[in-house]
Amino acid sequence: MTSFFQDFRYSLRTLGKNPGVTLIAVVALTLGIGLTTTMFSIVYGALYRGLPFEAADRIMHLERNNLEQDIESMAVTIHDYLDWREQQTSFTALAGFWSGTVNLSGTEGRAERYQGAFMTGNAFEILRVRPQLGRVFGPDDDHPGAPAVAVIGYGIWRNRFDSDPGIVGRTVRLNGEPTTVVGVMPAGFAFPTKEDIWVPMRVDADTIARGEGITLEVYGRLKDGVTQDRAAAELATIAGRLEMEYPKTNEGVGSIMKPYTEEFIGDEAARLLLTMLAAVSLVLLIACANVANLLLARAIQRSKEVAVRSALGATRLRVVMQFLTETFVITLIGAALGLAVAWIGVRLFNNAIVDTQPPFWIDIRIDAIAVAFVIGLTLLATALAGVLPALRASGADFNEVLKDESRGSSSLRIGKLSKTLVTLEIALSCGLLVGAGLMVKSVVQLRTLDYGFHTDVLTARVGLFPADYPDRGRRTQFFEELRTRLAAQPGVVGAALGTGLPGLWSGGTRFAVDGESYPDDTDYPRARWAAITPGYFDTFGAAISQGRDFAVQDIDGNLPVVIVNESFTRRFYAGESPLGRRIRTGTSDSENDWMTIVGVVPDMLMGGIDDDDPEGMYVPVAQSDVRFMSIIVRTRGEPMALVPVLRSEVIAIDPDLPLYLIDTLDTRIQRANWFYNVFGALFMVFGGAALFLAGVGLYGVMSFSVTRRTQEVGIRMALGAQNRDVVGLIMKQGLWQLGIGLLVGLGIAALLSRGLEVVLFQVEPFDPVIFMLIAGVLLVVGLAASFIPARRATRVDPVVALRYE
Amino acid sequence: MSAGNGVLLKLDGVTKVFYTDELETHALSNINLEIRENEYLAIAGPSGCGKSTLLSILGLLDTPTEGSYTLAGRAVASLSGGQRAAVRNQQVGFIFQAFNLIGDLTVYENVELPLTYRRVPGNERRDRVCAALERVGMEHRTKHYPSQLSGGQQQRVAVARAIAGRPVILLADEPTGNLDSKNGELVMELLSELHRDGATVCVVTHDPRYAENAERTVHLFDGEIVKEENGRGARLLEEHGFSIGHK
Repeated sequence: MTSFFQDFRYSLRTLGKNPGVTLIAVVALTLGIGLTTTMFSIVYGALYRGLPFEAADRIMHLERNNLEQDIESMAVTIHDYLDWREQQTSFTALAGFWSGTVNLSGTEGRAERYQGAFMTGNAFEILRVRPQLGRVFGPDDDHPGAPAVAVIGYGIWRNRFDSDPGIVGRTVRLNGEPTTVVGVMPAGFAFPTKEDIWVPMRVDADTIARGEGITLEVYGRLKDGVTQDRAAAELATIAGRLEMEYPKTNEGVGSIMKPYTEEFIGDEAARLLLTMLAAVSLVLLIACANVANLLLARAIQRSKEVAVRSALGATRLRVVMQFLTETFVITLIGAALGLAVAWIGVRLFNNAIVDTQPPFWIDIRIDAIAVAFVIGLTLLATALAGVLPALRASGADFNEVLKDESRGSSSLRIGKLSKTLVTLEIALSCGLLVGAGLMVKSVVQLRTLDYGFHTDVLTARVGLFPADYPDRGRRTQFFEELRTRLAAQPGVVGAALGTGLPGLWSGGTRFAVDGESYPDDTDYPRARWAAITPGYFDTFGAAISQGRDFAVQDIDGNLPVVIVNESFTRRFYAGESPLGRRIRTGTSDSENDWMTIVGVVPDMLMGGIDDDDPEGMYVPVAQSDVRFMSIIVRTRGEPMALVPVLRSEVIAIDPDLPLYLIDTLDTRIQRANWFYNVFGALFMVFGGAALFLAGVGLYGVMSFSVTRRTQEVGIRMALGAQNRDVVGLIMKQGLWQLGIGLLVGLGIAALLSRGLEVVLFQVEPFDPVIFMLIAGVLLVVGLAASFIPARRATRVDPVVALRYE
Repeated sequence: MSAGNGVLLKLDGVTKVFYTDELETHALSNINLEIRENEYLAIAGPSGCGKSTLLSILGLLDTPTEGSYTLAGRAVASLSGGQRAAVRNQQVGFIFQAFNLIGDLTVYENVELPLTYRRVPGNERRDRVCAALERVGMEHRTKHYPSQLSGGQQQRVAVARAIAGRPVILLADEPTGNLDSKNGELVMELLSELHRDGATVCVVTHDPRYAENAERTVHLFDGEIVKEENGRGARLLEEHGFSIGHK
């Protein structure tokens, strides 16, 4: 221990004497450790921290699949849920829920819309959570006909009810129904994902035909001692039994079980996050290679000092420990600063995703686990950056070193190890930079995307519930009245309503083309589907290509009509005019009316900006049964300035009806695609850091090489070498490293870009322009990093150089 | 090749002053020196007297502060760096005390180096390298690296490198300084042989024994030529009826 402290003190002194080297090494490790810790905290918070409940890793999510119909996952029907619950023995219990809108109104303020969960009575019991006030649901609360009760979230209690301690027992209106508040959940609780209010589902399964009605997300807590495999096997057995018993509804239906949080993060997101962690690890590797190179150079410079120490009796281990201690000191400083970088990085990331409302258990922060990770990284980086230089320094033949001055040849080229390390840095940087280039191109594509319709329109969402709007007529009347009122407002260019918004999402349906036959239900084609009011296309500035728009006479009782988009026409009518042709939604047992195509419109990204299946159809709201609609208003001025008018017009029709998701379409599209921006920015930081480190690394090695080759350069100049010969000599060395590094780097980039495929927008993972551009950038940086020392070499005074030692 | 009267190289009033901060150091003062074709000249003097500076100027590694320098009939004192490099490459052969071979190049490559800078075609280069190595008795070590050779062998390779370019003058700076006496004598004998074969040789040495090999010895002290004398080489030549003409 004494020797460690001696080494520690000596290290501080040595590092202080070489502030340039120390600074570069510390900056490199700060970037490497800081960025890696940032990404680790993101990955850990998103994927591994889990639900904040007792033994939360035992809580599983259950769903169904039907691989015969290529359906990888689907929610659980109420009857299957009841059978699973009845027959299983692996879980303490099974619960179910669905998420949806809960409109809260009452005397305490204006009506507001919340994200709510409709749950089975045992839902809280499985989670093992307690309310802050009152009680959670009991087994009787979800019975059909049970009194309407609700548990509210801490935020609602604090903000809407001013933290009223007497809230329990109070009656409010939820979706138009008087409901008693029975409990308040503690702050931070937002199960299942980001819900604010919880209501028992009160579904009477006996009134629903098997295979129909609502579907549930199901979860359960594994009993002690039961493995996931055993539970999954039991569920599969039950699914098989149900298939035998109910072949009409359950043929081919299987079961899937996975840890609860995995279901809501998704495989693609998890893969992306892990790819990002792998990518940022490359930055750390580059940093370590950089530091290793700097220390190698110093080890060579200090070979005489080491030889003297060895001659005086220092063992190799002692010398190795001394060098490792120096690396440890540098790494420790880098780790401390890296932790600060990570703290800032995590804050920036959290700010960037705050509008995306991630699942409530995603908790990204610098905590004890992050600090432990940094400690681990410190030791790893010390080993990665320090072992090679330490072994190199301690492995020299000290006798040879001590008599080196008597020798007359100059063996001063930088070692193969250093060149390999720099080549590795270039390769890793190339991989990261290509990733960054692909991401940046995605962001640029997204920002310059020509939507073909106005996105600077005000949008909002509204939902009508059976308690206040029990029939289609009342709902249609509300939507039409609202549209008419909004269209009449000064400054409004157009107003319309639709179930979906272009550039975001629309539902889909199977359908039949009149005159075509389909052997099986799975052969019916699919298309996007939206119910809209007249004026929808006009409001978005999209011209009808053929036929006509919907009109006020397109209502129930008149000819059922439909408008299709151009992709639909191309695919199902080979580009010929479809006007007058008929289609019908549903499959073989559909009782829907045949609809006549009356118009064709351009494609409007019904499935979102990255829609691979653009075929779509629009039906009139007045011939549909819909409850939730998006409002669209195009204005002459600033769209958001119309929000108060929009609110007042809705209140004028129904004072208990809240509006939500109020924003311009452009903002909503950008927000929906936040990951392009956030992960693009992250990759740019990683790529920038990698480029900086690789540039500094190459410059450092070349610079050191030139210093070490001063005498050689002097000899060559004495023998008649011209400046160009010297520049060529030095740059040739750099070019070799660049060339090999780029080749390997492009291979790494090819692997990395596959992992990024899910967040690339209209960019091929192997985009040749990006690959070539990055290779070019690295080439320029590499040449500059080599040229500066090479130029310096030409200024060597041969007289001085020949005296150089 | 000579400027006339057999004078190969002429320094006229050469002064070299080094400036460090506010200190002026006169390394050479008013040096007047001629070296004739096929002459063997020794520059002698104590350590720090300016011998190496004078040799650096003779080899165009350095430029005089004042004075003129004519080499093979061409004024070379004020040439650009590139022009001086070309003159060095084509007309001067260097032999250093510390050999100054490049450790990462083989014996062959070290000798080939000045020819490479001169863009000598490959075949001719090979012939000249082989001939030079043969001349110094190192033809059997072409693929060795300097670290695999003894000091004496390294200096012989350095001599081969110096003569491979067929320079008009060989400049040797303390060529025996890093060698034991036996190897030192061998190298000096090699230089004498080269001189006898027609080479012009200029050797800097502080060892009177080796200065004796030269036809003429110039003694430097504090940057000035203080004495010139004929060496054993000159006496031997005179004994055989040759006359030595010098300033």
